[in-house]
Amino acid sequence: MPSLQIETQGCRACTLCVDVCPTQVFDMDPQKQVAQASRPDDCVGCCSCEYICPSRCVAVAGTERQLPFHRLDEASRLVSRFLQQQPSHAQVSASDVDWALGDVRTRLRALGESATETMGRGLKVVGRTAGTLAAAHLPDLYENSSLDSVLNKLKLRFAGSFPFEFQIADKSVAFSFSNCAIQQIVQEGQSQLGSDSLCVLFHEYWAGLVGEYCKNKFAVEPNEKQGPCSFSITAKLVNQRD
Amino acid sequence: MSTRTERIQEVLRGFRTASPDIIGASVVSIEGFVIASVLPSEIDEELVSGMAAAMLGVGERISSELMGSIMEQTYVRSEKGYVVLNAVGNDAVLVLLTSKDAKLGLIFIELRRRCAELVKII
Repeated sequence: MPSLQIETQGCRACTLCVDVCPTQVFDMDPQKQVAQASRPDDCVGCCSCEYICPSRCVAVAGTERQLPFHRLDEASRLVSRFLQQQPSHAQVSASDVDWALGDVRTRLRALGESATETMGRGLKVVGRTAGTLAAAHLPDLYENSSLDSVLNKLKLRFAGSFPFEFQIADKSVAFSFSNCAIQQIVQEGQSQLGSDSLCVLFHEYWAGLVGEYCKNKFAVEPNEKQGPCSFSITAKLVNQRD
Repeated sequence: MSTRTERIQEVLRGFRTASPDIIGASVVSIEGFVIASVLPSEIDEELVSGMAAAMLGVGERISSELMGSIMEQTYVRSEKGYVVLNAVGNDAVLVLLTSKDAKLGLIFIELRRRCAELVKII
């Protein structure tokens, strides 16, 4: 039987575990303002809470993880349909969302600046490693057999946040992004699109993400002629091991 | 006529023959891609290359901020040995793994000599 452990000291009361749990195991403790497992016997061990917790405060034990069910978009949609109910974020107003987005933008700008300040030329590796690691969060993309199908699925997945067009050539793919989620942040910070640290991080992230699904290594090359939000990723030859 | 990668590989093999204390060597681009390597099979060279490029970046930042000069070398000492990072020109870095008994003076002389060779090839 699955068992739950919540590290209450790290809980930031975001209520994501309350929203995501398909069997409503969690509630918020009104006094302490932390999540609590009020109905632990109802836990089915789907691990959605553990996965979604941004503070990594929820741990699920005693369950066998055969498939990353909780990470599949399709599975999440099925669960929502089954529950037929509105999550708590339905009560969030437009101004709440604007405020939260503003906060996220500020944090991302600071993150980009601090990464550049600390890593110097190592910034690109950080971005690409992040992309490589992020691939596991969209496991259904591993099932695609070709680069074309991976990119088409990514296009669909990121249509709302990172809309892009792509063109596959011999060993490279040319991308052209428009109105991506980072563009506004960079422009607000009066920084240069394309060369800002967030843009560099994102371009490398994208190369890492696509590379992970295609089992290849891609290097990023800017397409300056086509604008700051266009770049290519070119496959690198895999080194022969001695 | 050997390819560039083969020539780099040859220089790296030379490290291992130069001293039994040198466990492995790898040349990595500043973007973190492996150019050539002679690392033991149990070491994940992709991981090493990513970390080396990141460490080179941090090393350069420390050197310029605290010393006001260009970084030449970074090394990490552990219980089992040393990891030495040396810039190879502007676009690559040489990663050298040695045992804990390695004589660093000799290693550095070897490193300087072979880095000069690598700069010409790269």
